[in-house]
Amino acid sequence: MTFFLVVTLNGLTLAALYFLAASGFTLIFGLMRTVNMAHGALILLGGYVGYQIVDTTGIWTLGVLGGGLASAFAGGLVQAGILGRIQGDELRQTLASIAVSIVMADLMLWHWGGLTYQVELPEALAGGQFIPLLGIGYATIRILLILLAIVLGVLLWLLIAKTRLGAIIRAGVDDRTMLRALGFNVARIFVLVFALGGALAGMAGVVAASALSIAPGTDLQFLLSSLVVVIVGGMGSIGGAALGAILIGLAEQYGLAYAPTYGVVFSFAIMVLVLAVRPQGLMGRSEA
Amino acid sequence: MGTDAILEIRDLDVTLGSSQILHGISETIDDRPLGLLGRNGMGKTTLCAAIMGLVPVSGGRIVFCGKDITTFTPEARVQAGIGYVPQGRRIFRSLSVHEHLQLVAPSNGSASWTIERIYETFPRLAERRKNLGDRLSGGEQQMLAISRAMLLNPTLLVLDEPTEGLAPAIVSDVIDLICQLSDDGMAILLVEQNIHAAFAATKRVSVMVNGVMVQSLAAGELEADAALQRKYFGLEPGQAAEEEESCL
Repeated sequence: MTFFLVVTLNGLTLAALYFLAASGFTLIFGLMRTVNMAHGALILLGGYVGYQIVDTTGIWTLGVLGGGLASAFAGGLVQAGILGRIQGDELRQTLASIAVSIVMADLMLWHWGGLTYQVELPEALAGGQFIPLLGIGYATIRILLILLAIVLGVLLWLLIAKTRLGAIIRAGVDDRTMLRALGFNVARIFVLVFALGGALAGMAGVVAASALSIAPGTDLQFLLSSLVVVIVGGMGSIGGAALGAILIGLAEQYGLAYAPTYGVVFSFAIMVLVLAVRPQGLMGRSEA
Repeated sequence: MGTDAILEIRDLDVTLGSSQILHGISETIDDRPLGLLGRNGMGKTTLCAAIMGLVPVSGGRIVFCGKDITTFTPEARVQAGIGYVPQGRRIFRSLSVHEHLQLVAPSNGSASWTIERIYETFPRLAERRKNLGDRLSGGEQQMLAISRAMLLNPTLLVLDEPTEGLAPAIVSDVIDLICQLSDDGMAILLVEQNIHAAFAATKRVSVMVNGVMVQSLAAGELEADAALQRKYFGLEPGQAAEEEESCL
């Protein structure tokens, strides 16, 4: 029983990380129809920058914020400088974003080398926590990770559902052309949302570097998981990203624990099943 | 009423893909409402899109209030004072009625149209303020689409088939509203397939055939001339228009 609980918690931790990574990806896709293949690179960049900040200042929170900020800036720059110029041509955007991800990965390899980095945790987060309800101990950082994903998910939902920017984003998802015809500078909104997606990616990177570790290749790993999560959950839906992340996170951990040989197959089996039964994803909207 | 040109279209060409949709369109709109008539697929919607900057123009110029806006972005045209009620209404399905209005509500209190005034004018929208865009009836959606453009307090309002698919009683509401806006001094371009709606709302009409502006005349003149109507809109009753106009 304890084993099952631990595996479940591990699955949820992974799900939290996947959600943080995929939420920015799905936000960008939902509004702009851009499949941002550089999303993994933004995650890795955030992780490295966060590591650097924590290494210098020793303040973990500052590292998370700094990593988010760095990737927000990089994301905004990519949209304003490259992807925004070929807006509306989705295939070309996807290819260009692959190019961006390769260039970013090489630049990061050049600067940070091929080493594996792990962000050092502050005292308060380094140990474990006894969870009385379940009767087991569990790493504090992982519990924090789950809480962080929930808080960020709620904040993101509030932003989309309750604020003016959120209403503009929703209107843009529904009908970008009409939004322009009402006087909105859609190009600027796109840059803003790209930066927001980048911020989420960057923070996910720092958190990933804290709970696990980062190295060259982590970017592709997270890009792949983000793709699987949003395909299962539904492209463009924040709720879908949460649901997809939970399904994939749990499937991977249960697979690893109970059927190690076939563990990796599980998440792809879920994806194939969803694509066969509900191609737009569990919470995705079919194109009207 | 003055007759200073508010919108001037000169020799406008629009080519989409390999086919030229508009051929040398010239038209002037002043503060008297203009009806633009023509059968389906004649290029009326494309002309609206060109005025709004939503399709690329391959020749000619568009001058609005003395300013050449041919190369303006859609958002810059809206800011210059053109409001747009698109064909098919294009209500945002995940925004509530109130959110639609908030999106475009004027920030300064001195504007002629405010959210409060919209709700006074359309009590039905006030009742449905929390409803999402795709939970509205066709008539309510049309009122919302027009309100959305009115809140921009435009100098010129471009309406693309606002009576399409509406019940007769609602059609006459829409016509009354257009007349009222025009009386308040808003310039109106009313694109219609429903020629009777255009006759009721405008004094002047122009007719488009295959991307060419073929005739401009007084609305009463065309209304009285059955032979001319048959020539331009010569569909027998019940014969459906064959192809959809699409350009967006």
